[in-house]
Amino acid sequence: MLELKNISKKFESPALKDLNASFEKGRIHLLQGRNASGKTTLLKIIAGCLSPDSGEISLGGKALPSRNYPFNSFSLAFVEGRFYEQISAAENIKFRLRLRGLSLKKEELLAGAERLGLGEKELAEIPAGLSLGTRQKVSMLGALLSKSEILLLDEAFAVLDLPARERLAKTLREEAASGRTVIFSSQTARGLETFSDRFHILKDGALLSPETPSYD
Amino acid sequence: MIRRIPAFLRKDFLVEKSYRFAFLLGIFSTLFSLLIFFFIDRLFGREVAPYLEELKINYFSYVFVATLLFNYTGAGLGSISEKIRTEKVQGTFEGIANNEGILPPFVVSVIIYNFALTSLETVLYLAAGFFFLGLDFSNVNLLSLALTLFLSVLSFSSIGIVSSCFIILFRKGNPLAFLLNSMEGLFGGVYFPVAVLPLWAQFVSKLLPVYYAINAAQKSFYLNASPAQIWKELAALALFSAVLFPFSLWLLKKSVDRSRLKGTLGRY
Repeated sequence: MLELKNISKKFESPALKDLNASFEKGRIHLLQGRNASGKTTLLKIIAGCLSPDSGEISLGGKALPSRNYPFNSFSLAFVEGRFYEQISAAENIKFRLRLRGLSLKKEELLAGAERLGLGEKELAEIPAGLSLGTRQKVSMLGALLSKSEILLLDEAFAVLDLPARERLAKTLREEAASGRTVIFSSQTARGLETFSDRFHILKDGALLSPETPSYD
Repeated sequence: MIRRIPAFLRKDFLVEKSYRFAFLLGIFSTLFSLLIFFFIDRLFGREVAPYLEELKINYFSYVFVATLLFNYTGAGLGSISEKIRTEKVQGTFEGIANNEGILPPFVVSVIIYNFALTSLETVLYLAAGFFFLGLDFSNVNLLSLALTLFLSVLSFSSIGIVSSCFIILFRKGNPLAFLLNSMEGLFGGVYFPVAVLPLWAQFVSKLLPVYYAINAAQKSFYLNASPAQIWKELAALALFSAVLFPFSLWLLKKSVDRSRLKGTLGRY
């Protein structure tokens, strides 16, 4: 179980206000909210990219230290992907995994790619030559192959077409069944309610009542 | 932590490979500068000769080695902040800086990579100097030279890490790199021997690591000086490194922590 207690973060204006949330292991959690509601800020805080101004994060009952944060427990994928644009998509993924001490066989890469509808051709391409949807798939693939306990996917379905959405939904369901925790953000719950186990609705940096999908 | 260094080196090599033309241009640019000094030497060499009696070389030989050393300064001083800015622009810096276990190997790999790249360029310049410009390298003391380069890169890189903190905190603008680059060009003995300068300026020179690096390199190159014979220069470089390297890593960590709190790690 991943728990957030009294998390606050302020930039020019408050981004997160005294937020409490818990994310059960092996479940798919939808973090829903409009633009600037604090979704990405929250995902970055969980991933350790941002330090909260106050509050505590705990994993499996243990409070996570700000020093020696267990970064490898988390994998964060952004909608547009964060890539080295000069090297191939496959090399980007391999590099990311090498930093985590993981080596990746070609067959593993291709098998993972196939789950998301990616082929060898797309993986050999430099990211700059890929469509936004394909970049997003590559970004998700990197996170999936990272073997981290918790997957954090920012706007996971934002730019995917219907078959790709279905494929990703199926893949995330399989990952959750294998024990991974999936937390993904979206502006709307429409079309995502059938495969999400839990709903967390963010509005102006605060968490509204859980469990209720919102179609705003 | 160490196993991550090869991952960075491999990635940097692949990225660099995509910019082959820029690499070639860089080499030609330095070769042209050296050619300019070659002809300056023909014109004014005799004027500078009295200042180079100790080394028993001409002006061009002096500036040749100083320029090669200055390339290492550039590799250490500007490259780390340049790298961090590139990572920020690409959106990949957050992924590196948010992990205490990744940031040190990232910095070390930038240092190693630039050292290797500059050394490759240096070999090409040395070949050009030997075969086409008539330079004599028969008196080189390789051990002294290796020690000089190692300590130089360590101290230049430390200053480079300190200056990269400006990029982390203020995103653009690197006053330290600008200041040091200008000062080293004027006071460091790169384009002319420091003995040409007035006494007060010679004092300023002695505050810069590049002064000791160039002195040690000249003596290693042309006088076959052993490490014992250039111990003062090596000790000065070691002192700069011993003070600056830990300080620079501490400052880098503080800058990243501050940037993570402000949420500016990914901004540029």
